Amino acid sequence: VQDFSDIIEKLHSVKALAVGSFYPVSLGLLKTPGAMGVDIATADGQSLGNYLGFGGPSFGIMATKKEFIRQIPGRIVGKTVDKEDKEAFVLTLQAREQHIRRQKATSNICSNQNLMALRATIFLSLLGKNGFKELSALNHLKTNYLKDELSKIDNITIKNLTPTFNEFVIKLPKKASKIIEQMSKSDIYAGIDLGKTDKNLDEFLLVAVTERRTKKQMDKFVKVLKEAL
Amino acid sequence: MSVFDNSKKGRKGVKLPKLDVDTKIKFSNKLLRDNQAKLPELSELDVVRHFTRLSSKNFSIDLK
Repeated sequence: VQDFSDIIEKLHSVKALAVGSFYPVSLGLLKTPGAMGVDIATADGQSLGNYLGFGGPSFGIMATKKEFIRQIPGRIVGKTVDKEDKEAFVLTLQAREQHIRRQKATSNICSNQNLMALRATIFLSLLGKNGFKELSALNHLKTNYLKDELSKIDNITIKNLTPTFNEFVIKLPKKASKIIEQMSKSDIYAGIDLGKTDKNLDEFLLVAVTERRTKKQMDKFVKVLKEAL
Repeated sequence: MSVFDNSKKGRKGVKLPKLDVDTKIKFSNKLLRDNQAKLPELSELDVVRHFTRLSSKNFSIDLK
């Protein structure tokens, strides 16, 4: 986790815009992209109460400063009042291409994304202000535990020495794919083999811990990993 | 009526898994946010009622 405020300040000094992608659950604890000065922030919404679903469907989040709101694709829902002064929500600033030139439209909102976004809205309503912070802290604190325990194993190197949120990379003494296969026999999915993205990284494993993992499960992870080495 | 209108300080609609490890938050103050997210505070029943009510107001293919 890094603070990009200084880099963003430099970008703004040469009139460049900062675009950043963030992990939604981390924002219960961490500084928001807006607070860092990011101009356009994007995220994937899967972690906000949506299923893994074999890769989809998911939905995206895109936020920008008010001055760029007209450049956003899609449409914005605005809050207003009707003629009887009752609160109302209307679609506003929507590109007309979505209605009159649908076949050539560059942006469209689909019902599956809407359903995922609705799930996220319900998820966040249930968590609320304090639950969101608690969820974020649980992710980070449990990750710290597994990271600390793994750092005690001689043959393993933790690559992210600075604080991480809920994912970190470890270097193994042999191929990560072999370890993943070995650990799966004990019903543990160890993580992502980074060799799939770059073959020079085939001994690197990306490990993730969420609020759902218990100390008991993490201790088992450490034990099974030691056996697999 | 928006979901924020029923918000009452201190309410929460979920019970999260408990913290069973003894570790500390490792981020420096510079990385931490200094305000909380603008989310409503609701009980589970508040949320169920709100979204059920909303669904019946929806103009959709299910309505004649």
